[in-house]
Amino acid sequence: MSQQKPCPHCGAQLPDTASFCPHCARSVNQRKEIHPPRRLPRRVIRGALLALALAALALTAWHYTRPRVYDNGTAEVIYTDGGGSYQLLLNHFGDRFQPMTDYAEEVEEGTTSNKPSRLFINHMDTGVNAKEVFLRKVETITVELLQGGDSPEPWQYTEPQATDYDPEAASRSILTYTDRSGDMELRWTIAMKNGDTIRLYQRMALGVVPTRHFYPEDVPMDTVDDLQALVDEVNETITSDVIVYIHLPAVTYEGSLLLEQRSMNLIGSEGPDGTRTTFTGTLQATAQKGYICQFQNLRFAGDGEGVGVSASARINFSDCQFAGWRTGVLCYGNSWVNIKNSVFEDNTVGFHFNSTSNNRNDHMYNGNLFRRNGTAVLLERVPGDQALYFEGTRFSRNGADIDNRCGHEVSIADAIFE
Amino acid sequence: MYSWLSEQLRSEFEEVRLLKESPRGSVRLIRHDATGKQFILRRFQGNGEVYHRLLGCSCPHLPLIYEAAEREGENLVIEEFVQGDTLDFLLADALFTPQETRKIVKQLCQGLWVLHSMAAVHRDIKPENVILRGGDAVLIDFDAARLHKPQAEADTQILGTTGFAAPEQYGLGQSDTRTDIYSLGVLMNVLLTGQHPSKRLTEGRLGRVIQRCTQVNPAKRYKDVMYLMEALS
Repeated sequence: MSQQKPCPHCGAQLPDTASFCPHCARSVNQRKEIHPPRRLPRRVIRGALLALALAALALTAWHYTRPRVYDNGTAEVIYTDGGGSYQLLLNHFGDRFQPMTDYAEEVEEGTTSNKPSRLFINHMDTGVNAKEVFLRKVETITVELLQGGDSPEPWQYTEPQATDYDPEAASRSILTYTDRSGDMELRWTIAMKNGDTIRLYQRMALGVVPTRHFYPEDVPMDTVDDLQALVDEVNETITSDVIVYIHLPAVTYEGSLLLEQRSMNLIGSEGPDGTRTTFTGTLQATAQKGYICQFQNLRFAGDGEGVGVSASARINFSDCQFAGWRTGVLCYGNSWVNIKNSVFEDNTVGFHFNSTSNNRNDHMYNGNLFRRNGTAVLLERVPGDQALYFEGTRFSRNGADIDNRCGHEVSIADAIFE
Repeated sequence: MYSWLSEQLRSEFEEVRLLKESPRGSVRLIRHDATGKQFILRRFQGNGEVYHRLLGCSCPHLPLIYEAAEREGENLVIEEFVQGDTLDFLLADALFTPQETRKIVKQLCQGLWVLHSMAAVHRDIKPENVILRGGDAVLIDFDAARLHKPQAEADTQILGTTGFAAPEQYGLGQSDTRTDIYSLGVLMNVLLTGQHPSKRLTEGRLGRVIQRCTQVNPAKRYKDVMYLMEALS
């Protein structure tokens, strides 16, 4: 479910290939009502034949005016030849009836994104997908950038081709871009075997989500008091629509840290001697505003008591370590916590899920290691009823691996138990 | 998409009753919790391409297909629940007049035209599979529908309902769109006389139309449903 779209009726998030919204039970796709053509009585046909003969003369003349160019500067062209009329259009998503000439996109600073440009070909009258019939009449299909090819980080595109992943589309090209790629205009050129040329266009206006980064070189953050002061200052001075990254030095923070109000991302680091950014006191996160907090590469080392991270904020952990706590991570209130590629060891309870969120988030708990914990994962309350997946997660020498008190569905098919 | 849809079906819908179950799949009546709307949920193994093609269109004589998802040959289809009486229910009380029969069969032809234009064949046309909704005949249950591949060998599986199925469906040749024309001919005769045309053929012009529909040699039948519609006008 990589691409999503909102339901036009109720706003629920749907996969972009969905035709139906299960939340409000209404269709979200376009339909064409199909009626069989009417055949005419024979005498009308005879009269029509005469007219047709005359028309044929005119047609011959018209043929001499070929080849023709179809270019209206948009993502949709109606092309007519002896075989009928075809609707050709470009769309980034799966709706083969919806031309998409202009599109606005927001990307986070310093990130790379992909979006396909898809070519769809429909029979004008019936709406039936006509890609196969049409492609037999095509000589070549090419794509080029009219704008965005010479920005600081130019837009990239793949050669257009048909793929099994996208069976509805006649062809597609994958666009790759970053926050520094700027606005883009793409042109598809379809050269027909009869000499005709069809051109289709897509334009994208690229917005950048504002992001602020704080580095230890610029702001004091060597002690937990300095760090708390920085967090509080961010809370007071930067609104929650700006993503904030705090890049932490490889030091040990003694004492507890409180993250409240707005979310922020904490990115740990590793020193040349192998020391890592470490917290020995509880990190309490109650931030509710803004994006999901991203915590990466942090170590939480306890002395057998207390809670490593106590979260009523939404947090995604990756590459973190939790060792020697009564509870490594506690997720409570209406938060959702996801953890990937992290290590829990020697805790009484590793990960304790006890939340009633209606903001369900990532269900994949991949690549973690739970070792020598009293209870590795304690599921007391888990919102929703979608399974939690523990793909590639290892459970080793824990007293209990998963204490599933709320009976939430858990997929351990690809977990490893030792 | 498939697992997302299964998940949504579990959380947003409840089963009302199981309508049909076979080794190939099942058909259930389900109800949407929030709105109370009823739908047909079809699970089956095999090729679900017809349903995917029908997502983009509507025809008053076919149920709307709301959603179709496929994973490794397993298919999930959410379909409109068509309310009304089936022809076999109505036939228990009375036969149909030639005028009513012509109207019903012409409407079925329109539904079949949509299927046939997508290179699909229904293969199970019979009174149980036609619902009268107000003045409209709706052709339901294309469980047995499949794509017609012009070069394919004889059908390997025996599908369809005895009596309504054309001879080639028993293994004499590949079923194509003219197979449905055969079943339409039988249906027309049953609506008019209550019997199979081989037992008692309708008299008059409609009888001749039925005879042409039910020729053993498919080449002698109407070439497509448009020709049959013309013959009924």
